[in-house]
Amino acid sequence: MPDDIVLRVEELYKSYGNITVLKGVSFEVRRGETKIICGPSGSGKSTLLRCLNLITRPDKGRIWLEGEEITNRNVNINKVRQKIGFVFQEFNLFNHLTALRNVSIGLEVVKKMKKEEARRIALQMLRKVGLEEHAYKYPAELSGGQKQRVAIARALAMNPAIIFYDEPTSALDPQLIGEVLEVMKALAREKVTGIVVTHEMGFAQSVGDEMLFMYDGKIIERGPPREVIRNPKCEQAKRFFQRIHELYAREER
Amino acid sequence: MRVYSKLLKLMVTVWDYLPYILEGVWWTLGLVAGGLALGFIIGLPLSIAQVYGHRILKAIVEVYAWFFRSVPLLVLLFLFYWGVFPALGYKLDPLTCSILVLGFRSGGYQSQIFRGAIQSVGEGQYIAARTLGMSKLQGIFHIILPQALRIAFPGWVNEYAIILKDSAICFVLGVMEVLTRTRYVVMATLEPLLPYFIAGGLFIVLTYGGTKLVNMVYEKTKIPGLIGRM
Amino acid sequence: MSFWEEFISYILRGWVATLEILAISIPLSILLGLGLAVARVYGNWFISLIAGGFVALLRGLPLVVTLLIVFFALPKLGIYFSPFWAAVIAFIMCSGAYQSEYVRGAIRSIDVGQSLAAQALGMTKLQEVIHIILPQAFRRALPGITNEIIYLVLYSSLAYLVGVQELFAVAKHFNSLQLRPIEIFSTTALIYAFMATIATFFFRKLEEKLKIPGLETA
Repeated sequence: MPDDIVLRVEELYKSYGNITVLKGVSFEVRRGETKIICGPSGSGKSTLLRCLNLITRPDKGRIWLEGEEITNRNVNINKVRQKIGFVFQEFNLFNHLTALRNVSIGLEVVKKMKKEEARRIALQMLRKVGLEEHAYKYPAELSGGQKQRVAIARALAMNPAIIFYDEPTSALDPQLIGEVLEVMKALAREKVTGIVVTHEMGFAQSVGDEMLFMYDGKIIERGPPREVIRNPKCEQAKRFFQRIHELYAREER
Repeated sequence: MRVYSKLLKLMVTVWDYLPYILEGVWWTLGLVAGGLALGFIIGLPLSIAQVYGHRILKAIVEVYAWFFRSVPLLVLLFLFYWGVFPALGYKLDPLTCSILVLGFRSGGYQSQIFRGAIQSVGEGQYIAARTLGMSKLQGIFHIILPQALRIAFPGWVNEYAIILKDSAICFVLGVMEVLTRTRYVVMATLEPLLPYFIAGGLFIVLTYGGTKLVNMVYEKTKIPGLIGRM
Repeated sequence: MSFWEEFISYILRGWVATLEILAISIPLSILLGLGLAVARVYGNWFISLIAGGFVALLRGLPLVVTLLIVFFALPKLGIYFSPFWAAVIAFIMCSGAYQSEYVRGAIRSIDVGQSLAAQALGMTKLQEVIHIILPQAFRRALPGITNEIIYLVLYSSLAYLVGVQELFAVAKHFNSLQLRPIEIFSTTALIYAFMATIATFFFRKLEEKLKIPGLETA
């Protein structure tokens, strides 16, 4: 596999009971790329992300991370996950830890770093997302936007090869969405490889490199975000973007 | 052959003393029923006093509850049987004394169970009652208590389980309940294994069977929305 | 020596024995409670069954009966314990079983997202339970655990039944010599009440110290 392909996904299938959620998904992510995934609810977007870091095991299909096939049963899953950053829709910050410790705990426990070193890196990450002065606050004392930024710092601190964002702004109040998107945009511009599942079309158009439109468990359209959003080719995509446009109609630069 | 004869000896002895131990169940249940009932009679008024009474009354209740929840049952049994009741001039038999002590103690615990239940009935209920023109007493009796009692139910069932297990401690006063009889059997047969296991089995059945039974009754009479908390 | 002087010096010895019992029983029962809860929540079907069965058994049996079985019946199976250790073991098993219920409830009340986030970081299940789940569960279970500890303090008096010379045993013996039940037993009662109250204060303070905003008890 060429050196600059960070993630390769081949024919992923996943069913829950009689319902097949993923019906053969394949794509590649190059280093530095920001991939956008969107689609109506039920299209399988979240399931896809969870299969990619193997929180959920796909029924069929293979996944390669930096050349290593991670769907192989002999692989050490925990080591693999260290290379994948995950930002959840509900943040999932550790409630009993300060922001600083939330960011440093992965380094201490999983990467076995020394406490001082982990702290240093954690502070650096918090600085990067603009939350250095809130380092000692607990999650309950932070706003939604701040929580999500800490979550991004937490993922970043592990120095992953790729970051997955699972609808990172969907649980946020409108006025808090902006601060999180700003951080994500900055990271995208720094060529941090990422996959973002989102409805934020402005964000997609400004920093997205390729957009994958999912419907009913398959990727049925792909291309540069601007192209896919303005000139969708298939019916379902047309309907979806029409609805988004009506609902959100927000200008983004 | 030796195994069989040993088993035979056991069998004969078991069928002898099993009824004897089983008879103790009546006494055990008597202790439990008496203790629970007395605890209820004491605990409910105390809880009302604690929530609605003025400061002095509240303090008295709190001291009572504190005392009976901070002193071991064993100590209470001896204190009352050998000390308090004789000093007051009463010569009580072990059963009555045990029921009284269990009752006083349970009253302390139940007062807190009901207090919590009363307080978790929304304040709006009480205000609405008063607004209708009900007196304090009427409001408490007709509106608060029916709801509080239902909310308190699970905690109360728990109290049943606790008193049931504590009733065994009353063997120190010689009440002829299950454990006392078991101990006599052990002393007589010099065979502690089976009798104690039988006693244990009885208590387990009474505990789980009893709570299950009571919960079934609760399910039948449940009101949607009034869920109790343990 | 006056009655009181003799009484106090006598009772102090018993009190020390009680404190010894508690010093061992309290921490070990907490550990057992945590262990049983983790076994029931995270263990495979077999471990979970054993742990569940153990808890059901110890919660269905009165502590007295457990104690007497440990001291009187187990020897027939070849297992011998001194009075002190029989008592301590019975207390630890019984209290641990009750505590495990609180901890188990607390663990199950923790949002699944916490687990997901821990896994996403690459933590093993063990790391996840130790660093993320238990710190939160323990805080949530603390009021219930406190309750059980208070019971331990009070039920330690049962050790008298197997011959341990703890507080109550000593008081009872003194009473058989001096025959002043009211003074003797009410003082004993107050000493227990004092211990129970101190323990309550200690655990409330602990709760305060460990408190984290947003991590309130369910």
